[in-house]
Amino acid sequence: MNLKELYQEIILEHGKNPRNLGKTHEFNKDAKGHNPLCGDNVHVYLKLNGQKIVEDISFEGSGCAISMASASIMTDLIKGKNEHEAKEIVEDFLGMIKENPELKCEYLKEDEKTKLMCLSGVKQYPMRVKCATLSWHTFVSALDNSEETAKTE
Amino acid sequence: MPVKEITDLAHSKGIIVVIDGCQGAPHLKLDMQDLDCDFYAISCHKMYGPTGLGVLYGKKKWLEELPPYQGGGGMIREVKKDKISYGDLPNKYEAGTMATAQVIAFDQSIKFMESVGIENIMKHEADLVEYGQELLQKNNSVKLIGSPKNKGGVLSFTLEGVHPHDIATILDEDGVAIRAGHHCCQILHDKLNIPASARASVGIYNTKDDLDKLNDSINNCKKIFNLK
Repeated sequence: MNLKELYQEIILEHGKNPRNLGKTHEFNKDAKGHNPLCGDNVHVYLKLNGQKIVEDISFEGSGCAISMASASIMTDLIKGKNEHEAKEIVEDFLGMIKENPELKCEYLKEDEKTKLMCLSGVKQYPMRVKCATLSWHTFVSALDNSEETAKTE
Repeated sequence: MPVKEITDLAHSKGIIVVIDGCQGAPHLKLDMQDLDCDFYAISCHKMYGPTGLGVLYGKKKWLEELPPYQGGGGMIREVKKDKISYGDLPNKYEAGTMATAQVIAFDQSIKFMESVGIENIMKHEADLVEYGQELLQKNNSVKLIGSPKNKGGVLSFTLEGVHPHDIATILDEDGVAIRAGHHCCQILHDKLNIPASARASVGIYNTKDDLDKLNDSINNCKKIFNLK
């Protein structure tokens, strides 16, 4: 186990200065996520245009460095992807954070994969996996117009 | 407010008093006759005992009056086609096969606590908390939550710039086990306007050295998060 691997500079930086934090102006989909065990709350907003491309995405919430950094990196990577690509990326991320050694998704560029792999240290800390995944589950809920609050279980 | 005062006040208004003593029983001298509460629940694993076992103390008059909460072997006196009667106390409430191993283990836990002596336990924990409190007060980034008179064996705190769950992970790696989150009191956290808190607690097995390690590890959090 290695704390340096978990708390890499990029995680700390995104955790401290999250990108796309706030409520995007013209969202047409949104969903809330809640993690009752640790009290994290997140609200994801996105604008899906006529071509099913995520034109804009943002989030509101507060939580630990891991959850904030994960949401921040997610919004950065998802922006500009279409619905199908976005869902593939989410699946790939969730697989990587739980067990897969690397990312396989063809819709991620090499530098995007490198950025996302900064979160891979989390898998050594099973208690913290839910911190990293909440915003991703919430994003899928928003895409699917789910009325229910997203959970990580 | 001390439990005894709450009990007296409630009883003066005819209110039944049920106390969750899971946190009190390992750290305080208990005298049920003196407390005079109607029920008192304890959790054995918080008293140096086994998991999966608890004890509910209840005044005889209530235990006789209340119906059993579950059915099973050993709690019956007589079953007829049209009526049923239950066994004497405590059998009425002990349906089925009991957790024998845990009960025997808990008996040993109580003997262990008695061999140390509750007064000694209380003094040891009070000394440690006082030491820890002084130590953390000197640590600039740490904000201690609550410092009442007769404080229990806990140190609740937040650390400017580091979320309690990040604190807990880092401390854990340094071999310091604490709890982070809401600690079953979300309303208080809302009132204090904090998302969560970190909490270190002490017991018989802790020493001042452990609290030094706690403080060192908090400093490690600051280092990892690039704080001053």
